[in-house]
Amino acid sequence: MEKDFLDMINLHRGIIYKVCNLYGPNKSNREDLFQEIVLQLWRSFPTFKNESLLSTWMYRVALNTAISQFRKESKQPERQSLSKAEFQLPDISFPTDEGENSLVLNEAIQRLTRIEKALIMLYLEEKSYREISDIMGITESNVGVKLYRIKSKLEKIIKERNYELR
Amino acid sequence: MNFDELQAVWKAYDRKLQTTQELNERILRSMIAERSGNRFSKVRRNYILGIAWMALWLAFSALVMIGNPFDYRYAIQYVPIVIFGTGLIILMTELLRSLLTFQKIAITHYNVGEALTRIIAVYERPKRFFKYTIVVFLFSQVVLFPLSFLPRNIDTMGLGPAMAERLIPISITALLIFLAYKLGAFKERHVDKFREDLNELQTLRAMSDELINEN
Repeated sequence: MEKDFLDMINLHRGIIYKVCNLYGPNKSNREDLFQEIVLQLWRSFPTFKNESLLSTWMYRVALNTAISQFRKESKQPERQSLSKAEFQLPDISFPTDEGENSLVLNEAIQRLTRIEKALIMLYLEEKSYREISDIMGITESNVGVKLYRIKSKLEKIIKERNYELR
Repeated sequence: MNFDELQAVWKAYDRKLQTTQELNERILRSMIAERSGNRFSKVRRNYILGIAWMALWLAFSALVMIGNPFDYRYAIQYVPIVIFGTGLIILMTELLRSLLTFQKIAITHYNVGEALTRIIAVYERPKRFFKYTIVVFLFSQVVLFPLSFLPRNIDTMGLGPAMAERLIPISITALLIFLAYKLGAFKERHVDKFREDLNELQTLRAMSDELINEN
């Protein structure tokens, strides 16, 4: 079982990195969040049942941790950096070779609320409404409504920055 | 720019992330060490704050004994404040003893298991005397201290009303302390967290041994 954990984490590590990039305003926050997500996954792994997809479970844990981490941020004790010698978080920012589009995506997403970020991430990951509903714990119709609003909001944000969303 | 283009950026991002370094057991171990280290720093800080806070109250009780601001007339009226001061000294000594032991423990990713075992041992040290002290300390402050004003109140109000006037706040405070106890306010939560860390670490060790045996 324990060996499966690392295999699973490595297979889907992109999920954790994406959540860290979306929710961590700077490198230090991203490292803290990464650590918290991995530890939460490690802790809840024994109770994971194959009733849902492994990736669905990972999204759920990672997003819940990121959203609740924000609420707890003020209570966080000062962190030491023991693991930094062991592990450096790689560059998980949007790819620069995509030019302006990467910047637009990054800036627009950063202006969304924490819940909106989660929803748009799952949308961009091409998850079905049903999967998004499973991960976020909201109804499928609510997913549709929220995504419609988020897309409008994104469109507005991009237009504000003089980019045209065709 | 449209959503298809956004999705294209996202896919390129996904490909980029798949080329990143893989996690291994050492990383997990060091993460547990780091988390335990952070928690441990917080515990030590709380101990220092607790000792400082008690020192302040000890100074206050010394001032009461020297200056007699409550106009005590009988030596027996000083009993609660003497118990208060003695209780504080005992509690401070115990906290200081634990803090000194903690100061000798440093959590690194090389010794995290041993360090956690030592921390848990400090928490699990027999504390019967410590618990009795807290009970006597609370009793002196909740019951005896309000009663130390009784002689003056009897003079001004008479025995019955003076007793009632004292017993009401005593009952309310006792009830609040009882409720806080029942709701778990006096539970030591840190030790459970350290135990969880140790369990996680032991599981990791088992995994590590398993991997070594397989190779």
